[in-house]
Amino acid sequence: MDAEARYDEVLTEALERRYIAERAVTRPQLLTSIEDVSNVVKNATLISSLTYSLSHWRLPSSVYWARMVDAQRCRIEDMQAWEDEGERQLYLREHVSRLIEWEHAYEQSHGPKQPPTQLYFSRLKGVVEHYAADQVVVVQGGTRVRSLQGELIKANQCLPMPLEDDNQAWFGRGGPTLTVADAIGLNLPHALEAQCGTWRDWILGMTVVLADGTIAKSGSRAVKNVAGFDAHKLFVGARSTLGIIVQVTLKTFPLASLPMHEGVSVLPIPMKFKDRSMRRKCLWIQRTRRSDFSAALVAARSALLESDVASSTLWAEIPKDKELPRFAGDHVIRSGCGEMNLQITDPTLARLMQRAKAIFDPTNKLNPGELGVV
Amino acid sequence: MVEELGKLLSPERVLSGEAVARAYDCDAYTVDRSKPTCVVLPLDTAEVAAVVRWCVAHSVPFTPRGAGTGLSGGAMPALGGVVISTKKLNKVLQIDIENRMLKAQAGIANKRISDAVAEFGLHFAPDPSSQTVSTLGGNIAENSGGPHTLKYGVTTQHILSVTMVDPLGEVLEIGSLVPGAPGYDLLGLIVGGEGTLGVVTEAWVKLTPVPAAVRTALASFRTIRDATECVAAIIASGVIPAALEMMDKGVLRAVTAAFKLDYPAEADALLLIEVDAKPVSERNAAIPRPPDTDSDPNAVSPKRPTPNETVEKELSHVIAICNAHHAISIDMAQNEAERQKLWVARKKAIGAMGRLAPSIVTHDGVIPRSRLPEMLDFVYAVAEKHKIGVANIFHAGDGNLHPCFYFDDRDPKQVEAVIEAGEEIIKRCISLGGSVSGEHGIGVEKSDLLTLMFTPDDLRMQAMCKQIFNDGMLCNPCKVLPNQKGCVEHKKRWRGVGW
Amino acid sequence: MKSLDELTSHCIRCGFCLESCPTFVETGEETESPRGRIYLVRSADEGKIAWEETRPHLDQCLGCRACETACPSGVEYGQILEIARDRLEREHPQRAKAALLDGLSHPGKLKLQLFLGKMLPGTKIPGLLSRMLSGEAPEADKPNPQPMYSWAELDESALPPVKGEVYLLEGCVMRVLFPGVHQATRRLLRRVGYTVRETEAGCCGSLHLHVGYLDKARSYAEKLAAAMPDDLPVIVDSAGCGSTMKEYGSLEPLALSLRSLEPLALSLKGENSGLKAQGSGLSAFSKRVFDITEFLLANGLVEELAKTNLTTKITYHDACHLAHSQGVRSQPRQLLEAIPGLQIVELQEADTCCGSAGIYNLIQPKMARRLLERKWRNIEATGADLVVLGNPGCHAWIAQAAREHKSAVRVVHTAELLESAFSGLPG
Repeated sequence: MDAEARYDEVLTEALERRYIAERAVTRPQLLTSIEDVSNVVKNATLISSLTYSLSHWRLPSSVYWARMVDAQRCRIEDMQAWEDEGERQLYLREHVSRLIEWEHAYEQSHGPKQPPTQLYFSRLKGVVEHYAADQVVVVQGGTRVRSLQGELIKANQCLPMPLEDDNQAWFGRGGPTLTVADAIGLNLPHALEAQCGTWRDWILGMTVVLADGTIAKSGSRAVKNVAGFDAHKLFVGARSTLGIIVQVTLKTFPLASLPMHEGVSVLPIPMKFKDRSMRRKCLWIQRTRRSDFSAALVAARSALLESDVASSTLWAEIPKDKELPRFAGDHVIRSGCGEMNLQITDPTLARLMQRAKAIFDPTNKLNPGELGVV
Repeated sequence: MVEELGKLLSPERVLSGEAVARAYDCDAYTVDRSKPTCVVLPLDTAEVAAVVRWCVAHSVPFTPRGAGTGLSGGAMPALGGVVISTKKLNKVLQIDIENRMLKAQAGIANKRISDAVAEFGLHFAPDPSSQTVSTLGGNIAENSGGPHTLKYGVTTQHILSVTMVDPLGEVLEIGSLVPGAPGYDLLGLIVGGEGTLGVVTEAWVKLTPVPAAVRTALASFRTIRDATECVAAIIASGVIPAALEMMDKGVLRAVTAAFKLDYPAEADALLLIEVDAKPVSERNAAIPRPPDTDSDPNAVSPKRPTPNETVEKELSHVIAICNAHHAISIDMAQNEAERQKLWVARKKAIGAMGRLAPSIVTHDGVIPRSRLPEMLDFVYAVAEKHKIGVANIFHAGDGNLHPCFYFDDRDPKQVEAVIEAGEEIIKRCISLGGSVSGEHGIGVEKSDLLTLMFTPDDLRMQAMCKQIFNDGMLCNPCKVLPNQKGCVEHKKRWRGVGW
Repeated sequence: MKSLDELTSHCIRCGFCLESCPTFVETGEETESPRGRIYLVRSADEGKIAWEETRPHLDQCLGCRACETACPSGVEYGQILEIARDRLEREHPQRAKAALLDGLSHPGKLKLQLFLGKMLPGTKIPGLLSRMLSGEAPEADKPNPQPMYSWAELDESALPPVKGEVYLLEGCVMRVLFPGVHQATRRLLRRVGYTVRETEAGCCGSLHLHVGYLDKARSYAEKLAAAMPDDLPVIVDSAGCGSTMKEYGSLEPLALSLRSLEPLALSLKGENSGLKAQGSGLSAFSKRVFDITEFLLANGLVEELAKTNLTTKITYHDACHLAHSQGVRSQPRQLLEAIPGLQIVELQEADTCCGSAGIYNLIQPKMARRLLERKWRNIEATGADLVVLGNPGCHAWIAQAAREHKSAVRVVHTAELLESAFSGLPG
């Protein structure tokens, strides 16, 4: 066993211990195979499946927080004050009241005290196969992004997103404990997006466990594929509300083809921030049209942590009760500010998302409330 | 029906009659054909919606159609009914140069989008070989590729949002002008949805800067194996050329007759290789600022290479690999005219196959690139076994094969042999870890083949995706998913020589 | 002559022709596209649909053959169209069309009609005639013969010695309507050392061939070939005529049908294209036919032009039957570029049909009008003073647009412009 693998083991165990101690819940299911996941999902009535390390990014109304944090209710009531602040807040309020309704209904049918099943599959990990000559890797959902990168770099390949060092765990991507499945579920912006794309572009195939335990796959190992509908795209950024990502086939990038920065390949440069204690801070990620970006940068001023011109994205530190100016068509993802973490304001999208949720997860088993869909 | 639709649009934009039914009974995939009752040519989204609502109210199937250059029968009106042609939806609606995006109607020819912004040094990157005629809507439906998708990505990477009429006739705007918006990626389903999830009527597309430097080379090889091994080696070396295309002898014969390419007589395969580089202003713009605290203020940053230096470096790398794989000759395009000549020959090559026989069926299987050499051997063996002609012209860099069988569609035996040979090739693609289609789509042609690639559970998940938009059986029925209700019994009617 | 079956079998429906077809671009209808028309003709030939079903769509075709330029498979659309129209005329003759052609192709009758026409009110051709031909109101003006130029006699002493003789196709319509073009052509020929051997030959049969009278066309062809013996070059300054005369060979019957051959054997077809050119008189005659610009360029007019000067701004319109049928695109441009002082602006969609297309503007006035307006918008956008072109149909039709738009833009034949470089721009 090499050092990286050993580190991986120790880390996994340490995290499990910490998780159990801090959350005071029963030991999470330790899942080591896709069939394990399928069995657990099939038999559970309520599942929380983005791992602990990402809770900062989640809506408190998702099942995870709704069950664990009592203070949640207060925050919902605070929102009554927003009544006259325009369409966006109105939508949000409706969304929250729908959540409350759902929670009542849920308690009536399941009893109030039943905790959700926490899917914790950092043991369903490892590279299944790396086809280096084809630049394709098949990897288990519970593999840490960091250890995957380590494996790929050995073959002069990588996933083209900037690495971070351990101290900046909370910024951007979730740090050393972030798994591939979580990273895909969260699909946060990154700084090489304009040149190298996102998870959406790298995923060639995917195996998911659907709400009824069905194991279904989509895509193939080929770099180009239009066989059937691109079902796997639906799970990117879906925060495990439609199914659980258990295995993915990814396109890798040769290090030689990465964009160069001052003559040096960018990958080894981690994104670094002035404040190394980001984990306690509230992060504001905003992406605008190119034409609005300089105005957005000016508006962020001292709060600005990082920016990427090519994708017109900025990262800023904004207290949970504050906002930066918004621009036409922009979007914002935040962390550490509860219901404000993520708002889907487009009514068509919200409606179709509800419809998708009803089809993929008719009993509302998977992370209900996350992304505003129940 | 014709009369009522005529009232919704105007009578001269509702076509019917024997000749019309005939002309619209298939696209460029001619093995399956089925006649529509009538064809409508709406002028805007509202008219499309009105037609769809009329169809839904009267339980009439409808099938969207662009230029009809599809290669899997996607525009064939499988259950008859109404063909909704987008060919009168052919305008550029809005150009936003600053944000590098353009809004156009679905029926505009792909190439006309690039033409509209050429003066700004921009273009629409997806470049299917049919780009002079195939429509934006068709490209969206099929998630079209093209030679340059090796580096620039397929259509789905270049669509920001669409206006579409859903299968019940409601107008939806899906996607966002700023990419990567949170929420389910519904646009990712619609692009590549083959027109079964609704009728796309307008779209905002991303515009990409035209490369600042381009070099195009034509390398010839004595054997197919040398060429395919060379492709695998180029990919494995980590360089991503802008395009990496292969043509075999069968294609060369047709292409030479049409476009008079020069290449050594003993060559059995040609590789068309292009490398390019972005304008300087585009490069490095996205790199995170160097960390304030750690950067050394005295460090002298090395000089940035110019676009020309970048392409020359890549090119010499690629040429070295070609030479290592016994290239007989490597000719460089000396100017833009020569480059265009090479590309016209490549892009129109499939069309030139009519010089060899009255009909072609082009397959579209895709495999991991390292398996190209053995796969090509297999393709020739299959053609030999079935005694049909095959020519190969394909996106080698993507591993996307286009074995093109040429035959006489008036001979039922040949039609049968072509279908069988195709299935054998597709099966091998799947067993090598590939896919039944890289860019042409499933349509009616390959829906049965999907069962070779996917389990019933996998297909059920795809059906669930479709269900998000489409509950009924009216919007482009019988396409993509196999064994749809009401379609199986029609299969025989479409196929064969009895149309 | 090849069979429809063989000709249509080379279309594999790739659709690459679609955007090159003016009527498809205007209508967006598959039935008004080359691919659609070929499919309909093939279907009618196979007995799948009635021939009469194809008529409206074949009538709508300009015969501009831009699709042949676009077609990668080398489908001979022009021939398909001619044979199909012939079939239609045999099954369902259209008397008005036949009478019109008869009138146009006999210079005497044409002159008489022009005289009678002058007595009728209005500028358009008579409404009754138009309705008989197309069922629509007329768009085309009554033709108006061009006057001869008042250029000074050529100074023989300043000209190169005479090298040889050529024939000049005086034709039918050209002879009556555009005598000035012939005048310029003769002078230019003399400038490169050629004189014209006079002949009584008239119509080449082009109009008949294009609208479906193959037998008539064949008899005109034979008559013309017989009237121009002795292997002299035949010079043509009308694109439509030149195109037809260069393809006389296709009117000869072809014994061998490729239909029965195995597809693999079919693949040899590319190398076998010599089949149609084998044999007798008409094919051999075709090889002697040259467009005036081809001939002038090959015989050194460029050097002569270099000594001239003409300060004006022009744009060049590609007549379909030069660009698409004969592949003559660069020759006129090279000649024009040789004139010092001449400013040449490229015309957008230069090789898209203007809608004149033989007698098309008489039998399909509405579509012809749409295409003319599109062409006119492109011409206006160039800001040129003169539109230069090489075909009488386009000449009269675009000149009509200029009149209607009250524009100062003038339309001239390439030969007229070239001669003006030597003799001065009249008017």
